[in-house]
Amino acid sequence: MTEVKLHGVLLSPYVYRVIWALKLKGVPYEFVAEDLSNKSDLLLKYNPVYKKIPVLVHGEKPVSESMVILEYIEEMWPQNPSLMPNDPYDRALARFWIKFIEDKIVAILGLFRSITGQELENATKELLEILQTLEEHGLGEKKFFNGDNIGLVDIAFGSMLFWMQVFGDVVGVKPFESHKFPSLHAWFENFKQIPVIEENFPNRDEYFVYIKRRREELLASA
Amino acid sequence: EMEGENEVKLHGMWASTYSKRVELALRVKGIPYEYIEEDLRNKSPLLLQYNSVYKKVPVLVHNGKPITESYIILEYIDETWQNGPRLLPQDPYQRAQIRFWASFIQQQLFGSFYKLISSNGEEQEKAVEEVFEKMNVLEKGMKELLPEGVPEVDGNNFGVLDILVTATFGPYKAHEEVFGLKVLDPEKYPLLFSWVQKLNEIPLVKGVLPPHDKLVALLQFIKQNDLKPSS
Repeated sequence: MTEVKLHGVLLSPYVYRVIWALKLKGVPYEFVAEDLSNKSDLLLKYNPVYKKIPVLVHGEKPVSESMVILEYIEEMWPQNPSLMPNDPYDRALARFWIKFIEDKIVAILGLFRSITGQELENATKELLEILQTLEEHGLGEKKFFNGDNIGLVDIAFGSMLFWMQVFGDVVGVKPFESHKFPSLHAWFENFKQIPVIEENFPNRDEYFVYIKRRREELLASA
Repeated sequence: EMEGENEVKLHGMWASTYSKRVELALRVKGIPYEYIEEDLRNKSPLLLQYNSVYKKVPVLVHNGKPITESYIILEYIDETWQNGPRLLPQDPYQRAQIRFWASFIQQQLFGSFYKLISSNGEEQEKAVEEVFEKMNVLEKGMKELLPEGVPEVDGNNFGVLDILVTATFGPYKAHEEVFGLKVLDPEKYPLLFSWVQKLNEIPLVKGVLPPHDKLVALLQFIKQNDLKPSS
């Protein structure tokens, strides 16, 4: 069987997306921990364009960009569970929400980078709008974005929501309030209870410490 | 085929590179469609309803159901109309590579184009450097992806990368004329340049790309009024 390796760091929500997809599919893989302050020659060879993690290497063939990796995993190992709908229209909708989530991630970073009170207010407002769109148009009446079972959209959003909450805690805001986003809240609880997700959930405290330190560095240099 | 059974409409804009991508795909596949030209300063209620999140073109409407985001529309077209040429290869690894480069073109290349157009002075000089850097990366990437050079393209052998390169660089002469900058430099980017020359010869492409003078006039207008190009 061809070897699967995942180059990454556990402090990256993008890496968790790939971990979840591989584990959900039951694909055995080797995790290659990277030191981002001292990137390996292999990483630079496998992802010369961005020099970033995660990179999935399947039998020496590298795939970069987390959502590209996820679609690759889905197509290489289409067996149970399926992480994308079968119908082309539903697939287009799933891809729409994946793109929406990707495009809006910068808003989370905006929260992190906001120095003044006004900047923070603007960033929070933007995040609230994004959550509102997902609450109203994305999830609808479904249990998961993918229907009765989780899929790529759930994975994409779950990792980002986790990350957003940690950033929020660090800068002192709580955009994701349950009374404002009841459907998304219920969704997130269901998501976190999926065995693979529960058993492989990023460590909130480690992320908090790391992001807090980065934030302090940012403020000090401002 | 009964009327209404496979109704395809495209809400687009004649100068929009994203809109052109979809037109190319529909024509390559031989899919009959109704084209609705949108005035982006006065968007139709239908458009706003079909694309309530972004309110942009292109929107493909298939039997009344809207699909938005040009690259997503391309994959939808390929998956729905399985007759005719394939827009994407079957092999998952090749598909991953195409998706990677589609994302690069969108986020990195277009990102740097927008910076170029919307900045001036020293900012713009930096933006120019960035554009050349990204073009370099793209040229290198395409060389690796196509080790035997650009394959022969025609109306029947036209894939997603051909579509993206056509829509992005096809009108390069109009861009050069208006912005006074040679981005598609044959000496710096020989593969991309020769690819575009080949593509621009194909009747399919000639039939879709915006007329040169009309595009120049629009781009001049955008430039003079400091507007941002948008879909």
